[in-house]
Amino acid sequence: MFYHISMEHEILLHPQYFGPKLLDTVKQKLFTEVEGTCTGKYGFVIAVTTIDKIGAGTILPGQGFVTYPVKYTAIVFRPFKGEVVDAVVTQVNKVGMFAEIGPLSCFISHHSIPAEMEFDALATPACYKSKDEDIVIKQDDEIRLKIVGTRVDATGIFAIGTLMDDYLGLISS
Amino acid sequence: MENQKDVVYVTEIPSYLKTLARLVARGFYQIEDSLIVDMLVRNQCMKEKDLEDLLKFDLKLLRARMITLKNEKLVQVRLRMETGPDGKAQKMNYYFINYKSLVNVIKYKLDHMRKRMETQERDATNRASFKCTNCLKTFTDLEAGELFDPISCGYFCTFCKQPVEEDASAVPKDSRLMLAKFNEQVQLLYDLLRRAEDIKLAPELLEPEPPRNMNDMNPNYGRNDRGGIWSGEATRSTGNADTKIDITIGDEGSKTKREEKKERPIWMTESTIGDYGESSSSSTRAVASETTSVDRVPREDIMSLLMTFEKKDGSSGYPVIPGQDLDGGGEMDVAEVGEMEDDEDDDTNVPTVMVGTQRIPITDVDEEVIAKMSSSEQEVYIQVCQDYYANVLD
Repeated sequence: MFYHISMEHEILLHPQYFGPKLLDTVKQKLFTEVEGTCTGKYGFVIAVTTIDKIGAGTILPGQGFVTYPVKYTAIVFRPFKGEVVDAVVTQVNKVGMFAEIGPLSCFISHHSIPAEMEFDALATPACYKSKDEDIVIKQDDEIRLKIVGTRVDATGIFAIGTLMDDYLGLISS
Repeated sequence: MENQKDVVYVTEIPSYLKTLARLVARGFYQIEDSLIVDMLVRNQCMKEKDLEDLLKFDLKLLRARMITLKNEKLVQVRLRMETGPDGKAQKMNYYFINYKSLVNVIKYKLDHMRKRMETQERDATNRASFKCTNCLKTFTDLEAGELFDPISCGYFCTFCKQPVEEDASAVPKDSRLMLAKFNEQVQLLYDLLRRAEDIKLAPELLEPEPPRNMNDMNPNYGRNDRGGIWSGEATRSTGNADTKIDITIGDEGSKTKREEKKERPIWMTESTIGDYGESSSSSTRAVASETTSVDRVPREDIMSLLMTFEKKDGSSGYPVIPGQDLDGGGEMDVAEVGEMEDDEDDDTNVPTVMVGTQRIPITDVDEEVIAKMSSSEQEVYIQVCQDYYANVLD
């Protein structure tokens, strides 16, 4: 699920950037440091939309670095269990398939793929297909899945999904 | 019918609550339990001994099942001291179903089942589905991303870098389908529960009193007569097919003993408008036969009775106003009072009055005739004259 929320971040700036473009540098640094990161609480920070306030910088004694508290608003993506999302298949193998929902990668076990879909290792690329070959899910296909669990660690979020529910599976364009 | 006194409470247990109790007992409990519940659905409050006799259960078995049902809060018990046939006081257990608590218990249990299934579903996502071939370390689906090596397209242990295989022993039960199946199967119960959502049962239904005549411990009270006693009591308030059957049994066995609380008159059970013969015969089917046979009066008797009253009314001297006799119908012919022969618009017709047994046109009435008239006949004569001359003058 996407949220547009206010967040805070501290920018640590080297003294070399002190000068007329200081605030521009702070903003630029905020974008590079924040966008694309992931926290367990808010999920993936997709994009900073506005920088609301850049506070007074504090010089760190003995170093000369300055920290700026910055308040900004950003669009975040936080996956939830039970959420239905569209994904792109990145890898198909006999134990299941991997898919990506933007920055979030997701594993779909073959137990969570409908029984009528069988893994075809001989096909190139490898795919899951129904008996009448009506539906074929292969790499780079778009699928709709339901998130059944998430694991959050220091660097990111990993999800597992299922295709066993109504209206899930290959998105026929 | 019965909830005229109190509109707030439902004074008769709705059939869907009975169905609910039966379905739950049949679906989730042993056959003995469902039989007990069946009995208690049919009869609001039952003595332990009656249950034992009817179900042909061993007392031990019955008590064991009752303990189960009590613990499950399906059935409730009321203890009452009674004087036995030997004059000694003894404790008697009366069992009944409190439908309000039954509904709550069912809701609670269904919710528990659903929660447990959801927990299972959650656990299924955390099951160990991968196992290292070397160090036997297990991994869940959530760790699949770490195990997967995109270059070799294989799964490798994060600890010893050896290939990881799927753990065939940990094949999950399809918990998603299980929950769907559960929802589908208990849909019927949910429907019934939804219907029971807004009703308020009367307190006497929730905590039914033991039948009063259970105390009647005369020597004939026993196995053979039990049907009449309790079944009559329990089905008295209901007007369904069971009533007929049970009362018939009671009539055979315990006619003298059975005391009906209140006889339902014919006009409550049947429409008295229409054919008498038909209504009385059908009403006897619904009402206890011994009393209705007294109440039932053949058509001729009623008619003759009505005629008697009709005559009395006529002699009391109610005037018959011309024009009313048009609506009066055939019954008015029996009245002694005078009446217009035909419609009042016809001026050539002279109205007549009855004097004694004679019918005399009012133009022929003279003082002699008037003298013969009774006071009521005189009144009628005056009335008829006024009307007649009023018409003439107009």
